[in-house]
Amino acid sequence: MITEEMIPGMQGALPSALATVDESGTPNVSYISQVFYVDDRHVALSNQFFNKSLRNITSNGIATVNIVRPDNLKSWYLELKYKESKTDGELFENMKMQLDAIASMSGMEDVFKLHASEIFEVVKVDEVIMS
Amino acid sequence: MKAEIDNILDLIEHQKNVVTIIHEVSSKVNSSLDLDTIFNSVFNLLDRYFDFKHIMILLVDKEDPGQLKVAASHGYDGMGIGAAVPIGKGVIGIVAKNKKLLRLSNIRRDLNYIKSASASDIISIDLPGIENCASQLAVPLLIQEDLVGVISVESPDLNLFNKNDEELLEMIGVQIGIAINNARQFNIIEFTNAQLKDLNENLERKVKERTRTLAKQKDKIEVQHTLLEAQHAALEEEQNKTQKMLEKIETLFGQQVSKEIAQELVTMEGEIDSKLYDVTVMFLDIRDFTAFADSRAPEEVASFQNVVFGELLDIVREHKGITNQILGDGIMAVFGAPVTSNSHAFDAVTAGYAILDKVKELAEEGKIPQIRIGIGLNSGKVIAGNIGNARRKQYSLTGTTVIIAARIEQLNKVYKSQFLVSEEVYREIGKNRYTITELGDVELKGIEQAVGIYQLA
Repeated sequence: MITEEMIPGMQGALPSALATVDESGTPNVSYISQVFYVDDRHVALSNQFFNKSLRNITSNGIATVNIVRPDNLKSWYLELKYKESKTDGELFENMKMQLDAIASMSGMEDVFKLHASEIFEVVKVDEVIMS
Repeated sequence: MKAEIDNILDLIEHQKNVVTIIHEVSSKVNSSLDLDTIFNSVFNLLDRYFDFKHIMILLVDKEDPGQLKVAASHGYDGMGIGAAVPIGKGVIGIVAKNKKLLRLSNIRRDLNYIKSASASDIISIDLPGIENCASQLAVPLLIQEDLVGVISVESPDLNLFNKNDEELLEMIGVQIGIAINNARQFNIIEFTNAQLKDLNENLERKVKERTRTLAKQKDKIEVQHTLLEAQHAALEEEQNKTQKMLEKIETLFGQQVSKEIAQELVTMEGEIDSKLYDVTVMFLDIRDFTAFADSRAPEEVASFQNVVFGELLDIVREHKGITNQILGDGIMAVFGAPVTSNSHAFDAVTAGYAILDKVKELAEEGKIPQIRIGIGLNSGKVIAGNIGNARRKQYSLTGTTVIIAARIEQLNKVYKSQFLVSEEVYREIGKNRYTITELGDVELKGIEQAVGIYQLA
């Protein structure tokens, strides 16, 4: 599902737009730093604060995220289905390390903490065709 | 299609470079123990093949294991060596803390996010690195499972490092870990060697010191030995002198000198001068010896003489007197010369009594026949000294004192007494000590003035 070509778009170089919708059907779009590659059928998002996106995702289990390669600006929409929330394991540790590194540079490691890695199954990939 | 081919070509080029660099780094690690050399060649290879422009290697601080210190760097104009990174702070600190590599693609953006999302003021932590870093890849350096340091590459460009770079830097990190381990083992061996060398030198020094001490002691003992020998020689000389002196005394006085007198003579310095002495002179005569001798066999007479004179001489000697002359039937003895004495009169009187007792005792024991003896004592000045020539000298006394003593002895015949002394002797010994009969002044042949005579026995 996720190809090699897409991976540079999942390294946090450019932010990704995350679109969710609440129970009443109201959409919400917010930018997130990074969509983490898990395997060719799964991605993860970091859960640092309880915000609207996460509330929407956990309530109806669906989201769409847009990733962009920084070198050639190729772009893809990934349709996601919420799977689980993880608070340990290698993926969680890797994501936590990134946040810790950045937060500790500003002495904010006690404030900015990774609460969980939210794991999604990629159900559909569409390349964005720009003309 | 062309893009895909380019991708594959890129990948092949990358893999080729990886193989080359790993080969070169590992051969460097295997041939050198100098970490600076190894680090610098790693930097140059990474720059040449992968265009990594900012690289640093940090090692755990020996003094403070809570931090890392920059050990070598590339692309920082030589700055930053020794700069510290607390473990747990920043990309490098977090990598050290977790012992896992970390790759970041947009650090500036993430930092801004943290800053904008924070309600409170943020203190930026001063960490070594380029100022406008966007991408960073840091890999822990491990020996077994122990963290020894971190190798970090950074760039102001976004998203510069990828999965391939991770693998590359991990392999480089393994090689550097081996190099550090080799160097440490070598240092341990060097240190141990140095310690062994130290111990060895210490031991040698101690042996030398001990040898020196022993040599000194030996010298000391030798000096002492020489001193002892000298003392011994001096003692021997002294003994020889004493022996010679004793021989001389024996020559001069015959055997009639008591040990005490002999010792005093030995300690006297120089020759025994002829000079004036206060003495008591004793004359002793065996009555009717001529008649006795005529009626006995010569052997009997000789035996008698030996027994009597032997005893008499001993008694005189015991009382610090010297027997000057042995006449056929008598002796002449002096008390108070050549060694002066304050008790010469007393010594002579006690000697006289002892002689009378001894003779009586000998007769009672039957060792000698019943005999009578006469003793005369006189005290006064005499000239005493060695008279004679070099070959034969005799210690002699001269003066009226001697003649008076001889005359007093002869008075015994007149008074039928055995022991007469002059007034001079009497004055010296005091009256109360003995049973003394005063006989009055007596004219003596050849003596102008009458002499007061006292009978002691």
